[in-house]
Amino acid sequence: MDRVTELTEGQGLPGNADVAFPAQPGAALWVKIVLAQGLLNTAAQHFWSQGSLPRLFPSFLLELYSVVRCSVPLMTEAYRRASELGKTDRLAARTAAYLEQHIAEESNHDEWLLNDLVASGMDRAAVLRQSPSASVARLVGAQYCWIRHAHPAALFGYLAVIEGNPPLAEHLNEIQLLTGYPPESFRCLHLHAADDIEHLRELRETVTELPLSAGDAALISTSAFATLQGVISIFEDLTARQRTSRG
Amino acid sequence: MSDAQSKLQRLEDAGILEQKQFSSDEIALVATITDDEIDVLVRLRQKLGPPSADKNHIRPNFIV
Repeated sequence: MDRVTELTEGQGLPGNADVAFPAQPGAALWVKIVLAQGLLNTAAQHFWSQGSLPRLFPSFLLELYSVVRCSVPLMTEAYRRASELGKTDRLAARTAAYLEQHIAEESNHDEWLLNDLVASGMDRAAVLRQSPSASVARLVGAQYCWIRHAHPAALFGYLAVIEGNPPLAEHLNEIQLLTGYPPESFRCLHLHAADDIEHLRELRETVTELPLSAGDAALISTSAFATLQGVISIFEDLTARQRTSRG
Repeated sequence: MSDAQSKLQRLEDAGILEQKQFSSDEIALVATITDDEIDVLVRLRQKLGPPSADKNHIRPNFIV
């Protein structure tokens, strides 16, 4: 059973039971990404195992919205830069081709999530006025830095870590039961539970076949590890804020 | 102990992977992980603690 199959069947890391890594160039990079995904999953387990889920859940959705809202503009920036470089750079050309398709797949998901926030009782205008937190800005901003000042392929590290742990329908149903929020609050997450398994499969195939130099692989790996640390920080901030508000 | 075995041992000792589940080809891939990267993974595992075996269904993380 490989990592993608594990996710499909709701099994978790670690310890990466029966993980089969592909043998193409780029596979070594994917090993690192899988290890990062496993740690992120532990962080998610801790976050969602806390009490006070009814208070945590809307905060999570809001922070998630901040991230998702940045996704297409971030990928568009990487696509633009990759297209410029792609005339003479095979890695950039491959990056642009992947992003062109993925941008189309992810378009309007921010609007879906906004609708779910409204279904959870939040005011649409107030959500739109909210600025991204410092943690979200660090997570996303690092990618702009690498896209502009290193190589747009860095974004593969971000995408692989974030899409490596898609929601599972079973757990979303459990959260709904525990929080009492309506099914309409979970539409976007449920859609990703279904779609992201295929996205992850496509991403793994793309990454393992990228024409990578040692420096390119190191950049994507750095991006993946920074993304891992960034998302863990967001979970920590959400937990700390909830504790503070509880007094 | 080879460099690859040494790295695998560190990752296994930290609870990041289980060596017995890796083929020789996969072990060769693990050898490409740098010591700095292993340091990051080990630090994060220490900070996060062990995974919970009964919580494998918990996985709504961030989405793109």
